[in-house]
Formats: sequence, structure tokens, C-alpha cells
Amino acid sequence: MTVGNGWTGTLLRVNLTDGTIIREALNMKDANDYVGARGLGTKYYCNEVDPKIDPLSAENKLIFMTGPCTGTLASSAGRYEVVSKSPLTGAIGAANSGGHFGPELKYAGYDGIIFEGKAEKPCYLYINDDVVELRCAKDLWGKNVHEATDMLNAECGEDFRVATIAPSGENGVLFAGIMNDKNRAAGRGGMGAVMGSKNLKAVVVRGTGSVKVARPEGFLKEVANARKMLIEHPVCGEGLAAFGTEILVNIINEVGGLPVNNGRDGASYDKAYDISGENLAEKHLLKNQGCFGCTIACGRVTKVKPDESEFYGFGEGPEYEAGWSFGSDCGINDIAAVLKANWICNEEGMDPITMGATIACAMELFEMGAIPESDIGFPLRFGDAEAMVKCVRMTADAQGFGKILGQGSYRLADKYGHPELSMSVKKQEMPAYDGRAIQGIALEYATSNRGGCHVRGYMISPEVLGLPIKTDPLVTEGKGALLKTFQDLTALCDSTGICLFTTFALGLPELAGQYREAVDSDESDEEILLKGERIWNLEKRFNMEAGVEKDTLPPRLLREELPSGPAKGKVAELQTMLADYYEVRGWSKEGEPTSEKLKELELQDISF
Amino acid sequence: MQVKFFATYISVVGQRVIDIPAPSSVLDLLTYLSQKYPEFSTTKKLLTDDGLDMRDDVICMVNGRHIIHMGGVNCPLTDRDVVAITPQMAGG
Amino acid sequence: MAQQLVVDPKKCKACRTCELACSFGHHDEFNPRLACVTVFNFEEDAITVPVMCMQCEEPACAAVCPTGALSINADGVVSHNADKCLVCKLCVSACPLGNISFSPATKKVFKCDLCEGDPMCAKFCPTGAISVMDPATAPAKKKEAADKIKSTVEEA
Repeated sequence: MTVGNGWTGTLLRVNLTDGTIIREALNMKDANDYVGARGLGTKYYCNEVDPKIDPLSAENKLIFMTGPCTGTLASSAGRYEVVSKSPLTGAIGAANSGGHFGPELKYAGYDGIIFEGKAEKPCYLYINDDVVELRCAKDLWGKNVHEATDMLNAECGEDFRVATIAPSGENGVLFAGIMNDKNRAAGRGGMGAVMGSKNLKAVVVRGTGSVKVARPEGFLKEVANARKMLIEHPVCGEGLAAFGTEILVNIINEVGGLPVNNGRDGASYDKAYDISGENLAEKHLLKNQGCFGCTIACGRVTKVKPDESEFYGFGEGPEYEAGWSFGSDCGINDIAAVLKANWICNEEGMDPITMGATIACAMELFEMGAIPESDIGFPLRFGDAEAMVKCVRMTADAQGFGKILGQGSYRLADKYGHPELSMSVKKQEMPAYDGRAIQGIALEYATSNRGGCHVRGYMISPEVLGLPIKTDPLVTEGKGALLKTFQDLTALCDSTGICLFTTFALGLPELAGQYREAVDSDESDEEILLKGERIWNLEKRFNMEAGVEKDTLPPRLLREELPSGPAKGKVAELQTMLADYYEVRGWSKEGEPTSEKLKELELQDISF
Repeated sequence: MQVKFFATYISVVGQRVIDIPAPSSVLDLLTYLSQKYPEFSTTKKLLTDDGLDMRDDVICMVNGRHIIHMGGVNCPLTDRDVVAITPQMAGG
Repeated sequence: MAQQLVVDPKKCKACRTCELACSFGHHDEFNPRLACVTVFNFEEDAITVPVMCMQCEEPACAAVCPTGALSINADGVVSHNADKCLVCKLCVSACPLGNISFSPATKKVFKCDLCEGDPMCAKFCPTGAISVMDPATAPAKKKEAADKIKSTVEEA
């Protein structure tokens, strides 16, 4: 592979302790073996950081990495990844984001940035093509995402793209994210807290250069085909644009998988329609919006007027996950309150999944008498929209009980004597699908390398939506093998710079096709998918060295039968699926990659 | 028997839910809907061209279970059942 | 055959695919700053507007050009002849819509040339916010209105 084909060939290495900035050549062997973005960022991270490191220490590193397709005409190819050890889970954390920041970094001439050390005083990284310098962020520190972005655009120029943290990251909220283009999020796992721990406020970038692909004619053909498939697809071409991801609320509820009241009260919500994409489109949607180069345009631009509700405002979102976490998970059906909570999360750089699920956990603990009202300052019951929004605000402002909420549901529940009531895996909160009603997603939650995560092995697709094949959500058979495919394909997609949502319409051939033409590869589809498997196993090896807990689920999912709905009586039958999954992955019965598997993936020499 | 509609199907029917006497099977229900609401047989077709099966880009559930796990379009219906019909969708 | 690009901002989703397609079509590389179309997102108003050369009938750029490097060709396109161009950049100042630009990277002036009949921006725009129309034919809007009037007349 030659440099300049998808890649710029240059990485920035920024030492925040001594202020030095080095341009170094991209490791092309690793770029080839780990594809880019998530995979390549993780490889660099694993090469350089001790898995046992304290994520919020100066010794930790923070990596921004684009993919070879980022910034090109490939389908929805504006993505980049932020990689570090997660302060929330202690596992490898990587958060993927869209918007326009990633492409601009490539146009400036850089494939990624590695941040090391810790600055003595708050600073931000300024990139304007060849000019790269650390600047004082004294006036920006303490400002939220929107304020800081506006200030940086005013100071540097309107055509700069900004990625920034908010006070949540500055104050170490364990689920603080990094926001770019104001409302796009590298959201989960607390990457914003890592950034804040380094006294790094923001990265601003302006690039006037180009991204080139290796085989322009072949690339254009692949791209035109992929884009046509996306536009003609009912989901990618119509559904997501019209209703956004909240379109899922009604159907997930229909299969009995929409967790209610922290999962305590089952997963069937009689007021589901109120928090659905249909209701959102009818009442508060101004228009949809697309990220860089995207035909799907699933983004929501939303507004609530002052005469419509006390929870008025303007911004982007919510997505399905936020609709659930602030909605049925808290027993709330007031969509304006959900919007408000989500807007605060955008403005204040916080992961809405963890935020809502943590509040839900607090509500359950309060209702059972485990948290005294004096600790919170007001009653905190399921269904109380005002209290929920107040909690989000308090967490953003690090005020009172908000400081405890800012540690996530596991540490909250543990503090009050009931860690089992945190609906989390490896201390990261599970998202908006009940694993008792949808067996395969339960397996994904248990096995995902970054903790309770749905997106990296999106079993909802086959089990509920019937894409690309139709499987039964209530059975365990075959889920292990199916999940492996989804996880490997997702790791591949996340590493190209192409948005995961394209995979509702596109398959391995279309992803691999665009990748090949960009980087000048003649590898087969299967050889390219293997890279995804390699990435998954590398993440797993890191987690093993970091001492991350074994794959399991909260007791509620394993032992409390769903009280009602189509999945009434079900629990998550994890053990069966785990055995099946480990076997398919070529791992031991304890869930560790065998030496044969590592050799097959050329990971046998990885040491930490 | 309740029939719920989601997403773009709501505007085809004009309502989110209808209550009708249960047809004997899902196929009969889809045929009925295709005749009663013209878009279901034109721009938002529910049935395959031969009228014998449901299209791949339509999702139909009876009591929260996909019909594919219950005999497909031959799945029988009773007045107590709750049916949900939606176009193919996705999210994250 | 004369052609014109038609922009419908209501359909624009701010994806900037047009910028990518344009730069690729002309330069075989991806660089929005080399594109002849630029997308402006007015966040607070939730409106996005793509802006490109409108192939004026009385082009200010051509009027000011000292060498005749800019002229209207047989297809109605205000065409730029690089061989005659001094890169004096008077045209850049003259265009009231900012649709002719100077690239510091290539050291050339550039403007939309409708891709010699098959505009890349319209081809790749996913929503039809940018489309191509022959100005001589009845615009679609008029036809829509005619259809509505026709059905009213038929009912009566």
C-alpha cells in the first residue's frame, strides 16, 4: 500500500506535558492490517499504553483516528474514532463519531492525532493546514460545547471544525463525551473525561488539502453503486430520513423489549407511542440532517416552543437510545422532557444512554428506600419528568447529587448497597433493548469489548427487523455464530471511516469494494473481513491484560422473568449462548482467544 | 381485532390503530388492507405481485411475534389477537 | 442543449456530497475547497443552501475579463478558457454571488462548467436538492400547477 491512497500518511503526536508536536509517518503495515479509525487507533494504543494504566492519569494516551475512506465520496464516509482506556469500564474504550470534523482533519493533511501526557494549564490544539500549535484555553475552560464551539469559530474562523469537551469532561464525569460540530458525539465510555484529565479542551481544524484514492475510476464505480443501493433501500433511503432512529420505539415495544423503569417493571410500555419517532416527527421535528457525504441523513433538528412546554429549546436529536433512556427507562412519556434532557447532554457533552440509565437506577433505589431524599434534595420517582431533567442538569453542573450521578449507575448503586441494580455490563449501561426478550442482544451486551453496548453487534437487525436474515428473538440457537459475524463486520466498518448505518443496506462486498479501490488492495472480501476479526481479538486481548471482568449480565436479566408481553416468562439464557459463541470465535471455554486463533490472526506476538 | 400501524403506514390508513373483525389469516388481512387502502397496493405494497405472500420489506407481527415464526401469511387470526404492521425499518 | 442547475434548499440535508462529487469530477481528488458548489448551513433557522454558478445571461465575470477567457458557449454555459486566462482574478471580485474562485493550491481560477453536460453534483445529490433542468422546457412547478387546475376543472 502506498501513502496518499485514502491516507495522508502523516500522524500528529502531541505531547501535552512539554508542548512538543511531532509529525510522524503513518505505520502503513498497521494501517493495512487494522484498516483504520477504530482498528488502527486501537493498535497504536495497544502498542504504546500499559493496559493497567489509570485512564485519568497523565500516562494515559488519547488517540483520534480517521479511516482511509474518511473524507472521500464513499458512502457516508465522514466518521472518525477516539480511542483510549475507558474510565467508566476500565476496558478499551473507543467512540465513533460523524459530522464533518474527521474529513477536515484529513484535508489538513493528518490521518490522526496521538495525545500524550498532561498540559499544565487548559489548552486546545489549533490545526490550520501546516500550522499546528497548542494554544491557551483559559477563557474556554468551563464553557459548554456550544459556547466553546462558537468562541473558537469566532477566534479562529468560521470554517474551522471543532471537537470539544464541556465541563462534564473537565470535572471527570465518567461518561463525558467529546462533541464535534456541536451535536455529533464520540459519546460512550468517557473519552471526554480522558481529554479533560489532560487539560485539553478542544481540537480545531481547518484543511485546504485533498484526499486521494488509489484507483479513482474503480472507486467511483463502487461508490456510485453503493450510493444507489442506499437511496433505493426502504430504511436507508426513506425510513431513517423521515423518522430517525426513534422509529424503533414502537416495534421494540411490540416485541416486548423496551425496558421500563430500569427494567424493574418489564419491557412493555403502554405509552410507547408518546416517545416514538412518529410522534417526534409530528410534533417537534423541523427537518432531518445528514453528516458528511451521507445519503441517509438520519439526524434530527428539533424544537420545542415555550408555549408548548416548560421543556422548551432547540437542538439536535434525540436518537432512539435517548428516547428510551429518558423515556420509558425512567417511566416518562413526556417527549418534550426527553428532548430537553437530550439537548442538555449535547450541550454538556454527556452520553445520554448512561445518563438516563443512571437516573433510572437512582429512581429505583429511591423508591425502595435505599437513597435518602436528603442526599438528592428532592424526591426522585419513576415518571417524574421534572426531576429527571433536573438530574441531568445537576450532573452537567457537578452539583450535589449530580456528582454521584456523574460516576455512572454502577458506582451509584454500589454506594447505596445494591450494585446488582445497575443495568450495566462491565460498568457500562446497557442500551434500549431488553436482553430477556431479544436473546442475541443479551449476548452482545455480555461479550462486547467496551461493556454494555448494542451497536457493535447489532443483533436487533436480524432478530427484530429481519435484516439481512430473519431470526427468532426468543431462541438461543445460532446466535453465537451470527453475533460473531456482526461484531467482525462492525469492527471492519468502524475502521474504514464509513458509517455503520450503511450496513442496513450494504453488505461486506460493498464495504470491501469501496475500501479496496481507495487503498489499492486486491484482497478478497473474506480477507478484509478477517481484519475485523483481528481487531475484535486485539481489543479482547487488551481487556484480558487490563483485568476486565468476565462476560456476564446483571442478575435481573439472568433471573427475573419478564412479567408480561410476548416474551413473558423469559430470562436471558446467557450460558448456552456464551458456550456457542466462544466456540465459534475459536476461544477457550473460559472465553479467551486460543494460541491457534491468535496465530491465525497474526496476533501471537502482541505483548503488552 | 386490533391492527396497529407504524411509520409511513400511519398516513396510508389515516389512523394508528383500527379495530376490525378478525379475518381468518394474515394473508386475508393483508389482502383486505390492500383493497381498502389503495396505497397498500400501489406505492406501499404489502403483497407480492402474485398476491400470495407478504413482501420482504414489510414486517408483520401477531401479539409481538413475527409471522415468519408462526407459519408466515397462513398464520391464523382471532378477535383477541393484536396485529402490528410496519414497513422495514432500522435504527441504532 | 442548454442546461441549468436548479437548487431546492428545502430538500438540502447539508451532507455536502455535491462538494465532494464536484471536486472529484474535476480533479480526481476530494477537496471541498476545489468544488464549484458550496453548502451553507444556517443552523438556527434549520435551513441549508447550496450555492453555485447560475450561468448568468449577463455574466459580470465575462464583462470584466481583459482577455475574453470567459464567454457563454453554445450550451449556455459561462465557460472559462484556462489558456487565455491571466489569473488576474478580476472575475473573482466581479461576481456578485461569489461563484468564481481562485484556488491557492492550483493557482488557477475555477468555476462551474456543468461538467460538460452531466453535472456531478446533481448526479450524486441524494435528495434532488440539486437537479438539472433545460430552461427552455416548461418548469416542473408550472406543470404541477396545471395538473391541479386540470383536476379541479374535471370535477366541475
